[in-house]
Amino acid sequence: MNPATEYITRSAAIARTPAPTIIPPLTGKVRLYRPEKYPRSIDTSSQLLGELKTFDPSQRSSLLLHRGTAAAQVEKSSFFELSSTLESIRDLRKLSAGWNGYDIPEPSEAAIEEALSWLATAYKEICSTHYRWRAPYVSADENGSVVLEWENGENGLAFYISGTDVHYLLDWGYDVEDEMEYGTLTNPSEISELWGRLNG
Amino acid sequence: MFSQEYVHSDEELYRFFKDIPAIVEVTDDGWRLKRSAFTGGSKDSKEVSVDRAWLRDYDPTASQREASNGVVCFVTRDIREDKSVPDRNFDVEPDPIEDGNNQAGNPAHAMITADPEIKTDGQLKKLQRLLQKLYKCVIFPESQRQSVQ
Repeated sequence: MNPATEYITRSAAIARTPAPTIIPPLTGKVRLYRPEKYPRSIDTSSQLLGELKTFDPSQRSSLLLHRGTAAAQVEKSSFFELSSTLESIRDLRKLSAGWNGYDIPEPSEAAIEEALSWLATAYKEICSTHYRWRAPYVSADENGSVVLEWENGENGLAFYISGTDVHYLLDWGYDVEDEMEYGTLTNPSEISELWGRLNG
Repeated sequence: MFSQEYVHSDEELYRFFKDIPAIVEVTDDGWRLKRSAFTGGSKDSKEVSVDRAWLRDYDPTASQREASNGVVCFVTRDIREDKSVPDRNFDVEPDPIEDGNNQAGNPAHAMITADPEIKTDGQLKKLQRLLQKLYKCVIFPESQRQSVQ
């Protein structure tokens, strides 16, 4: 077989060969998945992550039963990546009024419930960016809202989840007028934009 | 020499914080304070409480409520000079607390405020974030003290 024929034959064989299955890593880098093989329709926020609100980390082993599909890997990855944050949010229920030593109320139940649900939305949006998910620092504020905060060097991003709305504060310096931005989230897609600005 | 009536820009300020996971975050390379360390002051006020160091004889332990508390320190100038909009500067004002209602007084008490006063959540959140960037820890929280010995 001359080289030209061999090349054509090999190319045809390669073309017939199914694309290799790419096993998604457990780090939640959903962007690495091939769109045609693992479309964005893998919904990490609805049915799968809807269960996160009641997820019990002590039952993690049951998740291993799902091994074998990309969706299951994503599901498992999501559970593991979010479980510590979910625990931290639930732990806010242990705090009573004046919990930080000053005159502030306890975290509100409505805020905690909302934060548990909202986390799945945030995770999905963040996984749609070029930057990987990182667990936030979890606390509460003087209004009883749940606070999720991240840092990237001097940059910071915090979401304040009250139960009725979500505010954010993005900062990239010390100047509170020109280097800090406070606002209200009106659309989940703004989460990925803010995440990009935090990490960009 | 400092005066009771005015907080000088060279004055140091103390603020205690509790040693609990909702405030002290242990990280891979140590620990850090969350914004909740800079949340709250006196009742129904958005201003942040601090103690004036010279009125505590420069003894940060005097600002602790419990031995396990940590204490952070700020310099008044850093808080005042941050803002670029002159009529909305953050400021530190004396706010001594007198004895009464079964509460011990605190002549060193001061408030970090703004002119005009802090009315919006946005202003307050920015102040809390600024303090989170400016603080220097002068007493470590109990859970982290072993790591510096």
